[in-house]
Amino acid sequence: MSKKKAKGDEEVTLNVTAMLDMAFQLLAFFILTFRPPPAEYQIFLKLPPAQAVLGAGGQAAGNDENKDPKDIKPVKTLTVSLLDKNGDGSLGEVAIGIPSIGMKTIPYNELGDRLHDYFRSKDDDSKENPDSFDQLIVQVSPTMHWEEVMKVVDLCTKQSAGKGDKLPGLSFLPLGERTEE
Amino acid sequence: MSGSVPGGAKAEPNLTPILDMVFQLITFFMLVINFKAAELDTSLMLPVIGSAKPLPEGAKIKLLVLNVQVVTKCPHPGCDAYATLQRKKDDSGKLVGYQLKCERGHLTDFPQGAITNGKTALTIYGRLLTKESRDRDHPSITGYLAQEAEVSMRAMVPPLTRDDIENKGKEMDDTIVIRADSTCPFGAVNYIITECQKQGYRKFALKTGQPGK
Repeated sequence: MSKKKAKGDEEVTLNVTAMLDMAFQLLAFFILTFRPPPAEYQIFLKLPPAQAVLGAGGQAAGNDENKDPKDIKPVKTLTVSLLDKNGDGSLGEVAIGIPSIGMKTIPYNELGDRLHDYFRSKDDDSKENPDSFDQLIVQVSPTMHWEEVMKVVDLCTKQSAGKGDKLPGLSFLPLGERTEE
Repeated sequence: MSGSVPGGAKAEPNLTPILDMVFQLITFFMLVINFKAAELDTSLMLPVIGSAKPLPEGAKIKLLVLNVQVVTKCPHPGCDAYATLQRKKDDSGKLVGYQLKCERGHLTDFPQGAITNGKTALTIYGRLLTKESRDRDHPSITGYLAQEAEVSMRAMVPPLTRDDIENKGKEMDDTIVIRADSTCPFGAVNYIITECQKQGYRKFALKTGQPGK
């Protein structure tokens, strides 16, 4: 606080130097600790536990391991199997189909078209439609890299993206838990 | 900042404008500071896919962020801590190799580039949680998720009970954010998803990197 006399009047000026010093320190702190968050995207999914399905041999599969197979209602399941052929985490073999009807091994670049066919067929409500399904299970080798799995999730997401609805009960299962094929 | 010249006029610069500007800068940095970034493990390289979307503006979603990766024992002699895979980059950001970094800071070159036969781990605010509980600060993955689920259940309106989740088919409101490295084995991610499902979580957000970058 400095005082200055002028013609009998007292002019009071506030010394802001200390405040400025403190403000600069605060500013330095915020500049040094500033780290912009990484730009990240995401896919929102509803992931219920896989419902048990009855395989051709009457064996229950899925996560409801404790249930008696007689108590399990059959659920039509579209299955996409991703096999880590070389054990190095890369995608080796892809199979798609409804297990009770039959799985078909296809090249990866055809997976999008096959999924498109199944999803288009899903809209057909007639009971005779053999390709209709209630849940989608993506079966993956446990050693498969997450990146490869996400590519398949991407293909699945794109099938329902234009319709404004979400994927129908997508579930993940590690390969080896289901035995009906 | 003030000074006087003998016999001359007293020169005092007016600091008010600079103070105003500094306060504005402080306000800006205070507003943009993001404490949430602390829960993200930035060493993870997320997979990049086309159909992923950014979080909608102003979305009021309760998120529980889980950084998923695999860890191995630190190869440094005498160290029993867990080590995670880190990417070594040069000044231009180009990948030049891999190394293991353990919880105690030991760095070891790791040319393999991916941990095989490692343990599934979660990174939560810098803490590595594995399937087994290690101490009070490092509970098991299941224990941690159970704690979080308990808090979330109590926060819901009306509050949920474990019975609602297990027998009445009720679901948690919170969304689990899975941030897994692109080289993370599916088995590790699936274990985390299954454990979350056991706690009643059904909503998931699978994090990806920004397409085109």
